[in-house]
Amino acid sequence: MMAEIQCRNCGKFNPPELIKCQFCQLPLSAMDDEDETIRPGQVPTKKVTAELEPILPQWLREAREKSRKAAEEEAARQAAEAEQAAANREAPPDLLAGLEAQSHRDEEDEVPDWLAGMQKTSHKADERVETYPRRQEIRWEEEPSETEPEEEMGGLVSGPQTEVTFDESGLPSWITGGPAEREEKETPAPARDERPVSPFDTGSFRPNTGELADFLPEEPAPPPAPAPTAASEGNLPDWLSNLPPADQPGGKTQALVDTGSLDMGSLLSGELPDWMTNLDTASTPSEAAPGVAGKSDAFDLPADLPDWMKATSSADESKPAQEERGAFLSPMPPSEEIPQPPPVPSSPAFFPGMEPLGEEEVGELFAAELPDWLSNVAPAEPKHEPQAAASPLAPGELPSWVQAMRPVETVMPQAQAAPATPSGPAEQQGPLAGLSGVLPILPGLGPAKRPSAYSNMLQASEDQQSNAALLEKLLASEIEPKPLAASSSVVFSQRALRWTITIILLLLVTIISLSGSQVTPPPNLPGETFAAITTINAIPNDSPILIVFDYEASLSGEVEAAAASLIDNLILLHHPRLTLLSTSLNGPALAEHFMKTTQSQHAYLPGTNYVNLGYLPGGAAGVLGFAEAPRVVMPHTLNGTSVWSLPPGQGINTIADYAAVIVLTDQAESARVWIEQAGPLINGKPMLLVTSAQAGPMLQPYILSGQAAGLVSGLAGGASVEQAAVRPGLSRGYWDAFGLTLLIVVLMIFIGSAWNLVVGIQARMRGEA
Amino acid sequence: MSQVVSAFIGFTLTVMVLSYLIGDNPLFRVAVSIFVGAAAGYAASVIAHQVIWPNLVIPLATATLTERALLIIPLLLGLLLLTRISPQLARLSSPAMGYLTGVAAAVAVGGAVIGTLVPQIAAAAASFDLTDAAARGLSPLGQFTAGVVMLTATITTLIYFNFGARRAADGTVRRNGLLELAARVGQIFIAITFGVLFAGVYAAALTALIERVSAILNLFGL
Repeated sequence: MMAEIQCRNCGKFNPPELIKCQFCQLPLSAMDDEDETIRPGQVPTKKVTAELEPILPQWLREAREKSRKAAEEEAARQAAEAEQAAANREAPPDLLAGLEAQSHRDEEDEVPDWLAGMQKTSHKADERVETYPRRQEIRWEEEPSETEPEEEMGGLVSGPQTEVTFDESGLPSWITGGPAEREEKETPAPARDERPVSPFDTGSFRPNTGELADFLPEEPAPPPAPAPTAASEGNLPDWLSNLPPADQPGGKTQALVDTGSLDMGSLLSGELPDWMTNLDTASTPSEAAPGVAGKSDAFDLPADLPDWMKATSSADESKPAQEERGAFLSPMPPSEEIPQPPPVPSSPAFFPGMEPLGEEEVGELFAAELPDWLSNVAPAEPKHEPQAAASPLAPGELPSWVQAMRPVETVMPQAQAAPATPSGPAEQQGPLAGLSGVLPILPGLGPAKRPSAYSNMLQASEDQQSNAALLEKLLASEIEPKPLAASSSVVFSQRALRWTITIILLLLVTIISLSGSQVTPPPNLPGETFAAITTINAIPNDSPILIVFDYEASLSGEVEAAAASLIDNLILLHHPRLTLLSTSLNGPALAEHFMKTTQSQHAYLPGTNYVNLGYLPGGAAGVLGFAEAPRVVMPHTLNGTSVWSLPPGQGINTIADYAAVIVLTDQAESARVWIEQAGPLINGKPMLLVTSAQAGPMLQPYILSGQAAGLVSGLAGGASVEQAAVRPGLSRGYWDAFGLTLLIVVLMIFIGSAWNLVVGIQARMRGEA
Repeated sequence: MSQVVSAFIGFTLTVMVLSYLIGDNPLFRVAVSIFVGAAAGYAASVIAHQVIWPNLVIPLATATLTERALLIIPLLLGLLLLTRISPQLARLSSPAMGYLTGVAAAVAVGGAVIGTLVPQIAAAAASFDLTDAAARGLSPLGQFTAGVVMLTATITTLIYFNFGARRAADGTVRRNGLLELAARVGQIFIAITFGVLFAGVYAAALTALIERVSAILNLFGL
């Protein structure tokens, strides 16, 4: 049993009969040349096509030889003319001919620096021209005879030419597979003679139809024509069996029969159809006219043929042409009797008169008129490639133009990682049918590489791990119950202190409230409170007043105490028509409570002396809407009746129709909303603020800016208003309790702060000790 | 009678809340729950009785056809707001929420600029108008002093909240010396402001305590 083949890609073993890896589907055979891809800047490897010369048919080789000789003669003639012209006058190319006189006239002119630099560059380019001769200067006849096919195939370098042998039937040995051919296949080919060549030498810039044979190496060779042997005669038809034997003398025609061709004269004498018989009678027999002359007459070339074709034709006249034409063309009538087909125009209709350039003309065009930099491309670095295969039809050898079409590495960088193997499977269809290893195997077509294994473990240093452990410990400690650091005595002392403070405050407030004392002097009248009193006094009698209740029940005692005296004075002095409104949900009830408790002495009746509009939704937008159109925003009272038909709402269309707006609030934000939204629309009418003590300081800027006409803040403000009005009320009743309790509280805060300071100093002193 | 009942209920709830002095206890939790429930129920009743009924239901039944058609928009937006109850349908309330947010933001920004920013800037500049102070009967020196104090407090307070600093040559990050001094002055003004606010809050709480104790004493005729 043969050893299994290990895949170079995946490393797994496969049975020896497999071509591809059964795991990764990549070819198993080793790759001879891993550098198949062409990298940027790399010159494609030249492929030898001249070695195909021996395998060409004889008639084709001779035709190529004649064409080559004609080209050499033409090149020599043109070179001689060029040298003669150069000797007479060193004239620039035609396209620069008109510049010569100008250049002579400008020689005395001052040449700019940039132009001088260009001239130097041009001189350098001329030097390179001498290094690499142009194509028309190549002396083909000076080349060794062994290299002629190479030059004809585009200058490609090939191995030593093998001599073609012929067997007895006249066929080359490569067709019949003779011993010489077999020996040639078994003999290893010598190393290639690599040398730097220019692109023109390699024929890269000219069409070379001879290279088309290069990408057909793996095509099976055409089967050789079977020689007419005695064994095969039994299978031939009658008309073919009547053919004369090979050794019968027959001149040139007989020689053609020996080479495997058919004698058309003998065929015509058999069972041919009438139309072919007529052809026989119309034509000249081969015996009457030798084949050479006959064929020469039959192929008189038209006058408009290109020169290179004429040269080929003239060269053919010096040799017998039966071999080139084939024997089946021998009995054809001469050209005079055959109707000539209409001449095919050699140029398109839109270029009348234009004729295609011949090969030499194209070469001359490239050699003579191309710029210097293009005609002197530096040769590529010599590259020593492994020895070519012995067979001229070595697989995987591609012509240079095919190699140039192959993808480069920059386009497919993975091509090098997964190179194609020349011994891989051949392409089955398309223009690359029959070729193997042309297309690189991309990773996407199969698992080119086993994916790398990455560890899921976190790569952390010891410090990071220790920090993570510390963080984890801290997080775990957050949910663990921790015992109190203080002792039970400390906890008890804290509770005792809290209860002690509570009891002191409750007793103090209760005792003072029960005593009804008014020993504490009333507060001084603040300026904003004085302004509020002044504003109330200036309100006209029986004027509509809007009172906004925007406080919560928790602070209703303070706000009501602060506002009670002010509203009392307002009602007492001016008997206004009150409109109650609230932007707080509890406001409507608090408004009713305020009117029933603090203003009960005035006997104000709802719907008659005041109207409670209730809750105004929408926040700031609701305030703005009410300030612009109160009838639209608040059309109904709490009872569902129309507000604006009642006495308090009569004559009110906008907020500016009110004589004053009084806002009772415990939050500075609520008062600010009314100042911002309704203040600009009241048209100079006064806006008074009655607030809690906690909101008063935040509203002082609006008092100083004049946006609010007055401010009554907290119990102190209410007490000052009562003091100014000389009408004691709730504020004055609370004021003693408030003042004394506040004094005790301040003392306790001071004592507590001093105690903490002493304890802290002692702790610090113990720590330092 | 109703006043006696309400006063007794008020007294009971007040004692239950004051029981928090001995710590968290069921009486305090019951009192808090009663307050929350009563406030929510009262708010719902106020909204239904004072907002939805008179502003939506009655007009839909009695208003003209044009007014009814216009009322479809707030009705639809209100119904979309109700979809926030279901997480799957909460997206439907986005138009209504967007409308509310947009209107509120526009009104608030406009009011802040017109009602607060511009007037306050003008007032701060007017503090240095000594001629106007004399015309109003104020002391020009006192007016100027008040203006300087307000300006200093404003600037130093803003500087205190400027945390930009540069790294010194020794690697320490410190603010400029002048800015550091101004920030410390601003810190003093901030401390005074917080002290005033705390005093106001404490005064409001103490007033509420006095009012409650007085209410209890009044309940018992003391």
